Amino acid sequence: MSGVFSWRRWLVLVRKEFEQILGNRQVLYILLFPPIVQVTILGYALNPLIKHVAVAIADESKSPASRDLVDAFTADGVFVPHAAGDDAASVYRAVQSGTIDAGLVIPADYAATIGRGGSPDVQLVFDGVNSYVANLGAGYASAIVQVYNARGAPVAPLSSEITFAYNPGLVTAWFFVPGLLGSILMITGLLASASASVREKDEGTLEQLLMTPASSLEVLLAKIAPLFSLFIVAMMASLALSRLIFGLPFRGDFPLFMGISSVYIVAAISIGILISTFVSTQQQVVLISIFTALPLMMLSGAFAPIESMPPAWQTVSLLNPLRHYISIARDIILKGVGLDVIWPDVLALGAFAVVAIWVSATRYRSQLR
Amino acid sequence: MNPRRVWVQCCKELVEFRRDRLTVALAFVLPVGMLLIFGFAIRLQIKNIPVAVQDFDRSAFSRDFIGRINASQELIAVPEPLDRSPLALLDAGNVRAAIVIPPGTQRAIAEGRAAPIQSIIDGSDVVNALTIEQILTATSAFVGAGYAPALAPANVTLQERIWFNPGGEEALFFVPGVYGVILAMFPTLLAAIVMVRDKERGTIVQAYASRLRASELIAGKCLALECVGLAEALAIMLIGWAVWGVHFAGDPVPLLIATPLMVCCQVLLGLLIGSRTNTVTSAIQAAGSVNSLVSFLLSGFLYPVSSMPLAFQWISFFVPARHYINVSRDAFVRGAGWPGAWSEVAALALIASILAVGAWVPMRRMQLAGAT
Repeated sequence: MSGVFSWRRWLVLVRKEFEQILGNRQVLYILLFPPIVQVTILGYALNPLIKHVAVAIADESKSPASRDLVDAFTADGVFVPHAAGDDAASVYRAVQSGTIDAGLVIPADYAATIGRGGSPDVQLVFDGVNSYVANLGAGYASAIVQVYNARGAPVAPLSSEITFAYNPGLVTAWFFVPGLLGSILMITGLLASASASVREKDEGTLEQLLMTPASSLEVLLAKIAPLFSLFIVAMMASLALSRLIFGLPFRGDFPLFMGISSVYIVAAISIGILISTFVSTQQQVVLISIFTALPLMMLSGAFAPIESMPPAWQTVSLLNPLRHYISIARDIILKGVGLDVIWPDVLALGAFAVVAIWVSATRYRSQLR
Repeated sequence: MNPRRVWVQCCKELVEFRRDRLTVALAFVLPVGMLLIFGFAIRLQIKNIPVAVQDFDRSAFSRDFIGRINASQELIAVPEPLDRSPLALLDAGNVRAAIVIPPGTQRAIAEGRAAPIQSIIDGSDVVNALTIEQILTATSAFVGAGYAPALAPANVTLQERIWFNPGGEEALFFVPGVYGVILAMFPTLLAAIVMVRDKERGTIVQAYASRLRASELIAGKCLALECVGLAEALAIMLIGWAVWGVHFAGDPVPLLIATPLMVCCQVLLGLLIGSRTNTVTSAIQAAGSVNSLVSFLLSGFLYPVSSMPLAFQWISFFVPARHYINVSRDAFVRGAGWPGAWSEVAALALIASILAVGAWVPMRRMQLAGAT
């Protein structure tokens, strides 16, 4: 084994890897299209806002006043009335059976109490099985009633003027696309590289490769090259599609973003190769890759905020390259900030990539011993 | 279909599985590990988010306002020097919102003049932004009421109750959901690899040349993987019970029927992917990345299905995890049993039969002529 990195030898190896991937159309399609389609479909479908909460309403008062409250309650479409009977008992039964998300009960003396100038109690029960919907819905319902009570009153002097920076319309896709991009590159890159290198081991061609004068770093970098270029294409296509479909802005420095993304993709591919050095069969490598990729995805802030995680896990997640990449992606794409702000994340990601390549190159070579 | 041939095929698969000790260990250790990580780490309720406050008023009111923000325990007010622009604070990324209390706010409120408090919320994280907005609106309404001249009295009192999980215990929400996600992932992967490995190694030709029919081959493999999947289900549910005390809240029968159906769906999906793809790499991508992302994100595990655009709600009907998670949450939290669960169990049965046909069709002419 020669210690010097030879470009000529490397290019030959790269050609071999490219031919292996391009030779199989199915692999090519399956590495290229699902990532692009998933970013757009999931970016469109995912929605952390609550909508269409099915609510059964028992209006025992049956008066103009109670109908007015029901109208206010269902006006903006978050709570959608569903028929479940007119009395409190059948509404409670519906919530208990799980067929409905919430039940609103307006007591029979509602109109009379209002007429006397009193404060009638209105019951709202939530099916707490989906605690996310129940919590957000409860807050939302309080806000509706607060506004309802304040109608006709003189304008309160204190007001809260809230604007949203970077994403003024709170378009959920703008939030999810950078996270999905990072997650999908991670899971696809990791699985593809892990399974490709185990296959070489399975078929015995790895020995041939390691017998050649090529250094393990050359072999490794050649393996990374075709997957790397595929994922760069997939990423640019996803960004272009997101711009077309969701109007996703790109406020930052594009070359900077591509540079950091390249580092990230290399890191994802190296983790896959590293996993492949520990196992011997396809089944094992897939199980471990999925087991590695999914927690990395879920604990990255891609779908749920990092701040919600227990403090110990927030610290652990500092070791997650995906967390740093998503933070960088949102900062560059949505905020348009530069290296002066994102350098700690870039540093962490870069360190991770260097360690991942170095460890996998070392382990890759020692597989034969 | 000859039951004996199915049984022999099933035994062959189980023997093959058992010989590979490492795979057996992984098939059980990894789901349990995933359950522990997700059960402890995934949370949606927001805590201790730093927000910058620039207090130009320095009055009793502004101190009250800041105290109230901190009292929510969802936000932490960080006092910031007054000479920095709020947007620069957000750009730096250390805070998620910047609140400006203008000078003379307390006096304006007392005199009944308009007194706006300006907040800029970082909209790049939509989930955080929504919660922060809710908290800030509620805080200013609450604190403002104390300093303002009398407003109209509240005339409707909303009594809110959250049933089944009154404390909002998040583990009770996520753990039964993780069961569905795990059962969507591991059986499918195992099945896809079993199928495509036979093809890649060429051992499937032996089956082509034997008397074994396609339906028997699929039924045999399915039965073997069903056993593995059910054992995984039992393992994670026992751990869920031991660690978080998640136990049956009512009638367990719907779950006992839904679990084998769910495993069956995912195994058949894996066999279908394996029979349609010709290399391990493509099978792994389809069964691993696409299936797990869809099971995670379109199943209602995290964000409710009812919030999705209508077309995607329809698509998610074909995601088995969506139905299974509903049954699992009912069995472990609500305990209502059949009234809410029967439609989900029926949907799982429907998906299983569609997938069974889908796995059989590409294989149905596998036997060589004259083998029978």
